[in-house]
Amino acid sequence: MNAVFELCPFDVCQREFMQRALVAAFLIGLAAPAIGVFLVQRRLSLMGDGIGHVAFAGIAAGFLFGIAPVSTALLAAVIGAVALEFLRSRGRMAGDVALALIFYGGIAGAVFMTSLSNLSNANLIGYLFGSVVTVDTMDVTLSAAIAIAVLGTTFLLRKELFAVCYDEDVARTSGLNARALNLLIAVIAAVTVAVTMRVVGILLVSAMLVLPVAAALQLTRSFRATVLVSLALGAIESVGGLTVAYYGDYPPGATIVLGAIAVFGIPATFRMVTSRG
Amino acid sequence: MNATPFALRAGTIALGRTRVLENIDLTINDGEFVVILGSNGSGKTTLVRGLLGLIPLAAGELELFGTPLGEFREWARIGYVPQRFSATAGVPATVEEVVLSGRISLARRGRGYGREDRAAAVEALDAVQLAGRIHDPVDELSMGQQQRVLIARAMAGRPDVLVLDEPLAGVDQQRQGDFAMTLAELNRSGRTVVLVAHELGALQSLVSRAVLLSTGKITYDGPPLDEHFHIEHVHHHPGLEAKLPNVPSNPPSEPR
Repeated sequence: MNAVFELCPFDVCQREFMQRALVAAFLIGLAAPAIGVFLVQRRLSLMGDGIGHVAFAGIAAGFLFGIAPVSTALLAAVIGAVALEFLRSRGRMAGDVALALIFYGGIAGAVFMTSLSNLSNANLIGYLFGSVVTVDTMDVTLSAAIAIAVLGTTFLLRKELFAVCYDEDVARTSGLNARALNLLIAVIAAVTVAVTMRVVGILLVSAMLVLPVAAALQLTRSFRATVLVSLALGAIESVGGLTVAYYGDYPPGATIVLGAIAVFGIPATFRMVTSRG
Repeated sequence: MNATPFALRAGTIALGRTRVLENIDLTINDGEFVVILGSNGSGKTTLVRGLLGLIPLAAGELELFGTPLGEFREWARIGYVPQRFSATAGVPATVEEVVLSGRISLARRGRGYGREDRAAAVEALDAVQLAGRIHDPVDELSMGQQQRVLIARAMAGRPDVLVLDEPLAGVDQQRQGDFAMTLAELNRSGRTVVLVAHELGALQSLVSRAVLLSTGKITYDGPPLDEHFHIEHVHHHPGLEAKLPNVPSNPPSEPR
C-alpha cells in the first residue's frame, strides 16, 4: 500500500492520516454499494438510515458506559437490523412502518443517552457528520476487514442473494433458506453502516449505500452491470470526494455525498438534453 | 423413490386467523396434468402455495415426492410460476439473469452459472419463444412476455413438476394456444403439470384432471367436463354431481 502512496506525487498522499482515510474510503466505497444494490433491489433504500440511527444510539451507549463506541455502534446496528428484518418478515407490519419504528427508536435512544453521557458536542458532530481526522490505524484495519468480508460474502452468495431479492417465493421453492438470507442481508447492511459511518457520518451513511447504485441504474440494463458500475462509482466517489475535501478544507462526508449526487446528475442531465431534440 | 409429487392429507391452510382451506385431501400423481379451478377467493392460490410449503399447514400432513415437507430437499424437481409478477425490483435484470436464477438449486455454491446452466436457460427461452430477447431487461417486455420469462425460469431447472398459478392472465388468445401446446408437450414428455386457472379456456382438451375449489372445499375432482370450460357456469349448476357417474376413467374422489 505504501508503494502506491509513494508513487503519488500529491500532498494528499503524503500525510499519514490522509493515507489511512483514503484506504478506508476506498474500501468502504466498494463495500457500501455491494450491499446497497440488494437494498435498492428490494426497495429498502432507506434501511441504511434506520440502521444508522440505531448505531448512533450505540455510540451514545458506548460513551455512557465507557466502552469503545465503535464496538457498541456495531452491536447496536446489528441488533437494529435484525429487529427490522424480524418486524418486516414476521410481524404484520409494512416495511416502511417497521423502518419508522427503528428510525425514531434509534434517534430518541441516542439523544436520551447522549444527555446522560459525557459525549462532547465536538465529538457528537464528528459522529453525525463524519470525521476522517479521527480515523486511526485500528479503524482502518477494522474497516478493511469488514469491507473485505462484505465484498467476499456478497460475491460468493451473489446467485442466492439475487434470487431471494428478486422473487422470495420462488427462491424458497428452489430450496433456499430465505429467512437466513434476509437476515444475512440485514446483518451485512448493519456492519457496513457501522464502518461507513466513521467517514461520512450517521446522517449521510445511507447515501454511500444507495447513491452509487442510483447513478449506475441510469446507465445499466442488467443486474451484473449495475453491481460493477456502482462499485466503481462508489470507490471513485469516496476517494475523489475525500481528496477534494482535503484540499478545500471541506467536511469530507458532505463533499463525498454532494459529489455522488453530481455524478448521479450527469447522465440524467445528458439524457434530458439529448431527448429534447 | 416415491414419484407422487404432492400428497396432502387432511390439510388445513390458514391465512392469518382465517382458515382458507379446511381438511383438504389432494394427491397429485406423477405425470398428471391437473387444473385447479375456482372463482376468485376460492382458495386456489392458497392451495398451491400450501402444496409448495410457502404457507405452513395449520393442520394435516404434506409429502413432496414421498418425503415430509420438513425433510424435503430435492427442490430442483419442482418449478414454480407465481401468479403475480413479483419483480417490482428496483434494479433491472436481463431475461437471462432471471431465467438463470431458476437454476439456483442445481448450480454450485459460490460459483457463477456455468455453460450447462446457460444452455438450459436458452432451451427454456426457446420453448416460450423468447430466445431473441435474452439480453433485454425484463421490465422492457410486455406483461405477457414477462409471464413467459417466469415460465422459462421455472423450466430452466428441468423440473419433474411444473406448478403454474394463473399463467395465462394477461396473455393474448394466440399465445394462450401456443402456451397450452408447450405445456401439453412437457406433460407428454413425462412432466407433471399443476395449473391454477380461473377457467379452462384453451387448456380444455389437454388436461387429464380438474379439481374444482369452492369456498375452501374441493367440490369436484375428476376429468374435466364441458361445464368447466366457463367456471361461472358451474356455480349455477346444481346437477353437477349427478353427472359424475358418466365419467369413464380416473374416478373422482368423494365430492364434498
